[in-house]
Amino acid sequence: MRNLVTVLLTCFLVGRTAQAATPFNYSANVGMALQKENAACLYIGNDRLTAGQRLRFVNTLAAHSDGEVEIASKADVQCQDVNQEQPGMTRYSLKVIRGALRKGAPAFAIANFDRPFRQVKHGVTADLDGDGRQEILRTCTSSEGVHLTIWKGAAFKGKRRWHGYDYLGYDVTANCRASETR
Amino acid sequence: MAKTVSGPLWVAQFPNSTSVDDLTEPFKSNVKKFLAALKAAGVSVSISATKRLKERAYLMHWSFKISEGLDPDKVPVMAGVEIEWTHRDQKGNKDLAASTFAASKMVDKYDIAFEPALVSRHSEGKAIDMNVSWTSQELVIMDGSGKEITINGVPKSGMNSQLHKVGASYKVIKLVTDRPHWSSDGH
Repeated sequence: MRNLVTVLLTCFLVGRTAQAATPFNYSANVGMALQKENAACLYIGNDRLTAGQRLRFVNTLAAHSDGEVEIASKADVQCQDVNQEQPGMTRYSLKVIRGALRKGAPAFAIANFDRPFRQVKHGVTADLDGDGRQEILRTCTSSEGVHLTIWKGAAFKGKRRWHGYDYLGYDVTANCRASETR
Repeated sequence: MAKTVSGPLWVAQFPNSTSVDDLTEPFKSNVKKFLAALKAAGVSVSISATKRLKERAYLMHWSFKISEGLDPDKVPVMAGVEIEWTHRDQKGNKDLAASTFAASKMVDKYDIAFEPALVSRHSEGKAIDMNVSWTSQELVIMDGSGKEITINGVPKSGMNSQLHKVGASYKVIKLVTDRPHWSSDGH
């Protein structure tokens, strides 16, 4: 019995150590989900996502909404978008499993994450990297685009961990701060 | 002229342009010179927008506002846009639900989720949106003064700060907050 407890305790500690040694990679785990005319699409700096893999999504606009999507296929022609073509960026088509992506409003899509989102004054918070501290997810507009940012610590002043941009194709009133668009 | 009630059929009206010829002088000539230099240097350019009509901006802006709850009677009229924002029932009474629904249909067809601006450099004919890219190790391009400039930094796109200086030499100024956007004054 004592041996069994020792083995279980060892497994638990080894598991914890392995978990702590694998930091959350923002560029590989966070992307942008967009509802296009004929398909839901993901643009992310990760070419290793596989069909059937699930990601959480959250839209941080006034009444935030979140849900879950599943990778349908890689490099789907329906998701071709010249404005998202950048070195290292991979596009996927998605199947919406829960909730709804809002047309024209990009959402954060997050892989390897399963904790709650919470609405706050400056956006939505969640402990993305599992360090016990909340990250802040923000959406703002420039002259004709949307900037999505993730901040560690205070929004605008803390460390920016991730940035995404979507070109809207029409003019809007800019409300981003300089630190959100760099 | 009789007015036509609001609805998705309006969305096809007043289309945007991707033609450089629709820009306003002297920005038009400046853009043409810059584009010629880009082409001569072997840069790939894809133009997504030049002139956006103020009538389209009016339709987008106010349909969005009505869809968010604005009383359609409060929308100002615009010369040349014979739209009736207020829908009425068979007795001639104002039908707020139908007005809001029609505006929402327009918003959906325009594919907008953020409040559109009424005025911009695009509506003034002083802005161009274009995706710019190249693959060569070095980009050799002529600037506005006729001097050869070698660009060897990254990214190999319209977000390259060395290319922004070349654009500025043609008085085509980059707005860095919006990847495809260049204008007469960087706004």
